[in-house]
Amino acid sequence: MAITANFSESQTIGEPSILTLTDTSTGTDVTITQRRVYATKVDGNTLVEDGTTTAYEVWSGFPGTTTIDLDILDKDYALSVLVQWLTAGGTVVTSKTRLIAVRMYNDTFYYSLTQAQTSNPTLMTNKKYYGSKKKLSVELEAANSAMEFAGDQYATQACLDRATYLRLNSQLFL
Amino acid sequence: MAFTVAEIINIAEVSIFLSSQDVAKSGLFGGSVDRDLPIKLSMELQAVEWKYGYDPSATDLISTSNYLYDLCGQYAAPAWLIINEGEGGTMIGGETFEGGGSSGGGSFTGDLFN
Repeated sequence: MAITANFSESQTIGEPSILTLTDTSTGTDVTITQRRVYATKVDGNTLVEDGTTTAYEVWSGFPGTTTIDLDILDKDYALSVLVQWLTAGGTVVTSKTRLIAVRMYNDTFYYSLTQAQTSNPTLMTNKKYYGSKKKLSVELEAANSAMEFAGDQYATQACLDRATYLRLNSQLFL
Repeated sequence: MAFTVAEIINIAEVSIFLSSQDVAKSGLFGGSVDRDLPIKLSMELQAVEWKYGYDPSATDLISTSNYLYDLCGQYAAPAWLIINEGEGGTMIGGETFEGGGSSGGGSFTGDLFN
């Protein structure tokens, strides 16, 4: 059966800088020996690991190696991720593009606010704190909606950037 | 009675609409109901659900889910009753269809607005 290319993405709590991709392709193609990953931001540039000189990351070990950890994230992003499956000679056999939102930085921060409240419940009576947390909640939900319903990379990134601004400015909470 | 994190999440979801209903009925000055409670519950539920989705056995979920349960306040008990005894509802008007509960939605034919 010919190969049907596909992949999924995930992140791990405690490792917000890492994007994990899993090859979920079905079928076979003996000519394919490698993959390439392009993680493109809204500005058209790609994210690569330190030291990588190409616009893509090489995902070697096809088909045995089904996952790759990419340490490329310095904040939350809406990314257009293109994975190409190639021959040894570099010819693209098939490819798959998916729009994804990676938000471990902001989600972890949001959860940390709730953790702080468990030991100091009066935080929610602080108007500044409550107002900023509410804004953060709305931006995270809005980013979800922009990606899930509209597939809008720009709107998703805008929401994530507003959430990031709140995260990086603690004086907005206290 | 000790609830699991999953049960507390369900209690909070039901408490949101119960408290929302109370806020709506309580008028301009809110009576004794915190008018922001539905929003606060939604915000804290968002956090607990996120962590539970990634790591259901995380130890910090004990304190955060207990905090969420406490926030449900007077709505926790009726929410638990609804979760355990509710069977979904029936909406009547034009055509009849069943929804809610564990059986999910249904199908109907005809024009509701005719």
